[in-house]
Amino acid sequence: MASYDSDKVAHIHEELHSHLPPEPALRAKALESLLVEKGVLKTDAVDRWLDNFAEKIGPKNGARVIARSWVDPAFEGSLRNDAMQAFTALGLAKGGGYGLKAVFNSDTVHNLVVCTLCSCYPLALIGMSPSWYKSNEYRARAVREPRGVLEEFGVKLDGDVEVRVWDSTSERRYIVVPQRPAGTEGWSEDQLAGLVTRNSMIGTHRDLRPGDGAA
Amino acid sequence: MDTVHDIGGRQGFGPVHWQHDHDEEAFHEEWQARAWAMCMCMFAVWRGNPEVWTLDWFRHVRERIDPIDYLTRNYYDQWVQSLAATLIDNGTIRLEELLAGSRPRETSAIAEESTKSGGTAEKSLTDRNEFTGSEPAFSVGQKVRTKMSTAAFHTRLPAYVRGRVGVIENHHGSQPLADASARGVIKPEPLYTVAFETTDLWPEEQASRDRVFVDAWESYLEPA
Repeated sequence: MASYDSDKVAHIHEELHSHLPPEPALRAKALESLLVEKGVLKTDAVDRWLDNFAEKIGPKNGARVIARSWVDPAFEGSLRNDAMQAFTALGLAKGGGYGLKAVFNSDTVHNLVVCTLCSCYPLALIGMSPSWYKSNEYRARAVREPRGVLEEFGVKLDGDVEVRVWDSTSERRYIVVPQRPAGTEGWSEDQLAGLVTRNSMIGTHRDLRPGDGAA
Repeated sequence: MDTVHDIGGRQGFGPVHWQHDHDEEAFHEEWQARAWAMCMCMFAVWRGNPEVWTLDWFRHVRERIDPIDYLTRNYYDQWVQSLAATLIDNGTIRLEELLAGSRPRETSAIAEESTKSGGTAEKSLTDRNEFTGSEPAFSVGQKVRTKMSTAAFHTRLPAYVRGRVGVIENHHGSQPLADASARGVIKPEPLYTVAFETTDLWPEEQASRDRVFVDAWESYLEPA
């Protein structure tokens, strides 16, 4: 039974801080070993999870969905209305009530996603977030000076482009749909997917160019 | 609780160090991947059983890390400590065992479950139930003001939007209120996205047309 007692866990944290080895890798190893020894986790549970996750889930899945939306207006409509359904339609998710919202960049709108309170990210669909996304610097600054943060990523916006920052405060998740770059007429979906970067799906990369992609 | 985790809009932080991340690299070090996967395996075992765990409780457990540790220790290291604290609190392990090691035992039913769920990672990660709650009290386009305070425990209303006026952008049906889930109580409530003009949030942004969108439960809001 969980106690749901805030002060009790604060006290447990103090004990852990004082008594566990300071090296993070050793702390992680100690806990995993104990869980395996106690039979709480099977020996290969962590390996199997990682194999399964790495094999099926990553930024390329998001890139595939975005590339399809660039070549198929009906699919783009579906991505706008129910982004989870768009992932499911391409066999990249199994449906369910996971709330995913796709927000579309345009000539006059730029979208940026953050989780100021922790680290929420659509990792079940496009894999683990980059470490900078979870940093104090990004979480603190993205909602207050998004244009300054974007400049550090090399994104310079004209004054007439509106910035929309999406703070992931519920169980809903956000993915940015970047604009299809000019000069890619006639490209295959695979080629187009190769242009889509992980950062572009968060909004810290705006102008996609050949050679930058995740694929 | 207004712990240090509620960091949105705090000033004085330096550049975002993004240059070390690469799309094909989900984790920088192996222990980080293992730490995260260990948490995911346990979450998969516990999901749907609020007697032992909810995700919002886990979030709150992380929020109760010492503030200096919260700001300075590696993200995955914080997850390890929060998982350990969660496991000690709900009686799965004892602190002394973690410090001293433990004697081997038979593989238990919970271990079977952890392996089974490891085989369907993407399913258990995306599995969310649909919840039925009350009819929404606010409509799209309506002006609302966020409350100055919500819960004394865990809440998902960031400090930087409290007491501010925004506009209902969208309504998303009902989701369990995070403040209640963090206490193990599943209480569906209408959920909205609320749009705030940055001019209403930050004194230095008086010429901006930019907006910040926050998801907010109905009890966070009142008519403006």
